[in-house]
Amino acid sequence: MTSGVADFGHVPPLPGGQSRRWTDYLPSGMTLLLLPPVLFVLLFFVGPILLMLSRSVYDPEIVDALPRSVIAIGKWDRTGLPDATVKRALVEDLQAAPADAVGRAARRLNSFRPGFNSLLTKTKQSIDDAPEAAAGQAVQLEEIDPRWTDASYWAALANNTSSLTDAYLLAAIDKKRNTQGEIVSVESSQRIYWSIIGRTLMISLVTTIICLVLAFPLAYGIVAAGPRLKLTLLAFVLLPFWTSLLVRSVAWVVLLQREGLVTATVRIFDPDFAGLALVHNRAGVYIAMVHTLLPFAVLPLYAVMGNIPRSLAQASFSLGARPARTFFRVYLPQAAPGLYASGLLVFISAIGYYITPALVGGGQDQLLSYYIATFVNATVNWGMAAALSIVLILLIVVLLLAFYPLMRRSGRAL
Amino acid sequence: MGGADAGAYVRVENVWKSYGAGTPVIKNLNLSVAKGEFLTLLGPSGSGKTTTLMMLAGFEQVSGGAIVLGGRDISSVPPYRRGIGVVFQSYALFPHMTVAENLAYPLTTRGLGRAEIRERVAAALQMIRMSDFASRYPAKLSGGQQQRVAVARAMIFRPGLILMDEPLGALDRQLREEMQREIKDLHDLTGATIVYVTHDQSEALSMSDRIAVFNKGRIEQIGSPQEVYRNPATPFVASFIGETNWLAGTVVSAGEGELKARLSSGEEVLCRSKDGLKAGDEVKIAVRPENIVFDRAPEPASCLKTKTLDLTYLGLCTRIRLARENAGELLAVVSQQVPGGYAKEAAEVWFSRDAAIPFAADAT
Repeated sequence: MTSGVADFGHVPPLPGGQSRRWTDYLPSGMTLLLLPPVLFVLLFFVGPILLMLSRSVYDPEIVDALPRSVIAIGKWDRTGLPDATVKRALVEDLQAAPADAVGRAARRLNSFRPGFNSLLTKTKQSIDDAPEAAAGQAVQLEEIDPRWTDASYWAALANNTSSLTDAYLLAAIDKKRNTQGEIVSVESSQRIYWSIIGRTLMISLVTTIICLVLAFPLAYGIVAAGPRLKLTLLAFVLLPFWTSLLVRSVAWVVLLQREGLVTATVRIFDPDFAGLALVHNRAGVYIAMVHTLLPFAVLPLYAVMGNIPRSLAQASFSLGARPARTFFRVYLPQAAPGLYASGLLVFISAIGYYITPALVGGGQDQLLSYYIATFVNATVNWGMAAALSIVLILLIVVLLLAFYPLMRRSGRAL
Repeated sequence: MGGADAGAYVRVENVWKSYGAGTPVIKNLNLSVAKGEFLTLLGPSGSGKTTTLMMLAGFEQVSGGAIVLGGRDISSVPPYRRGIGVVFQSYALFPHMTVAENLAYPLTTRGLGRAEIRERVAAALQMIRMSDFASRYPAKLSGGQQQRVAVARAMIFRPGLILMDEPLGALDRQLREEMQREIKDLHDLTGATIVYVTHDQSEALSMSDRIAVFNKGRIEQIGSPQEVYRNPATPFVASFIGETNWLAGTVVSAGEGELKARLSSGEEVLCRSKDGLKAGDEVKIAVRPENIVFDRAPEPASCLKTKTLDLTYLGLCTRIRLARENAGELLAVVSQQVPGGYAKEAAEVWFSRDAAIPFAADAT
């Protein structure tokens, strides 16, 4: 809170034209009232999210299961095979670690070197069964499985000697560390995330543009309408909020599918109509997303446009500017903050959309959030889910930073 | 009133305006403005003065009749082709443009060269003494400064006609008087024709060459400030401009340039003659407070017996409330000391025949 005014009833009059911060009108103790919501947000929102995101770089499973091996392999120069100390450390680790911990580490290692899962579990099994272990005799890994002579397995282990890993973040942008520990692109057949990120951006951008193109004249119409028509139009804009997102998305499926209402309607006029699939493809995604996001585009635009005085356009006309010039030089710059606000709101909502594309989109129409959900729910790969979430957050932050100067500039004179 | 002058620069001919099927807001308006004239449209809110201005500007369409500017019928010409400068009550400066950009706007729309625009903007800024504010945004200017920019922007493209819609309505009194003077000076300097809308009668009296008094969609009277003040054509004009005492009575005799009337309180008074008034007619007689004097007024004059109720000293003048015998109150405004007594004392007051203006009792 800013200094100065503390008590009710002693607020000094506003000096002409200067606005105070709203907190100046509150007694100082009032700021305490902000404490519960702030604590709530920190405890139940910021905290869990940070915890979740930390999973993208914190990966203790391998280090926990194989503590001696990761230290020993740190000295390996990545040429040829690691020496006997490393192999001895691994055997000791496998003897000491419980089977489920080894299993977790094996699954993690498997994602860097396919086959590691079976190799490690098989090795663990053999060591546990082998009598030599009990006798303290040396175990020959190569005899248990010849794959231990393949350096790429050892490299996968060597790349994961710390609880902190960049592997998930690299995977989220189709990169990985090779056997030498250098960052390289994954094989082209396995590059998926860049295309998903690109698709997410593309679908969000197109949705935003369609929303703005539809919302601009609509908001203008609402501003220009008489009081009764204005209420009716606003009610229609807000109507979608009265039904849940899930119901609305399912309704679109019913409406748009090949044998759905749209097709049935067209058949009234053209009995031979083959039917048009508007769902489980990109068109369906756009239709449903624009529909659910349109109110978010209309409302900020309406708020800004409602405050543009009519006299500005009249002044422009009187100064000799034709309607087109008046629109582009006077009206549009005044409406620009609304366009930025609407555009940003719609784009940021769209970029994280999950339910609607999941229901009305096909396999090639899923956004980034779908894959995050899959990693959380289906494959239980929280590291990957967290890494993709970070990519999503970074996209939004970059976008906000890019738009901030624009919004500042257009808001400066207002 | 009557038909528009054929040689005038601006002519409003038999114009009607109505919205939908409602009663017309402008009824058969005729008005002419000479080149270089400063005409004020004065009237209470809702009297049609702003609607008239908006029709001149082209923001409102006429429902009937014609508007002629410089010999050309512009009734259906869109506002951006009329070339008329408009100053709005809210100033309507473009908030996203600096002062200089605002001033340059009408010049760029006209496709003027860059050098000429710079020159004209600089000259305009100098004219309104705001050269240091060229790169400021309107939000960073005071009300008076915004006002000056708005006026300069409406004048910079040298329009033949400039319309001003209550341009000083948002300013405080002192600034208002200063701006009145500045607008008059700009008018004298540029020789532009100005049509000015206000509901402030003192503003109208002090600035105008002529005043058109609006009431209920009609022009009640149009004339110079002196004419409108001294010879109001209707009771509405007499009440709306300045203050007026009303005396009710009956015409006793109608003579040459003179009426004799008996007031309902019994006194006989002399007033100007008026066409259509004859002996026996009910009349109401308007007398301005400053024409009620405590010395004997120049003959022919009338006398009323009153008692002084109270005085309000205002420095420049003193307002005196007087009670007439059985007939209500009178207001007198004197600039010198009152010669007679003060409170509660009987006083004879006088007014000359030519200061008393009779109207038929049922006129409005």
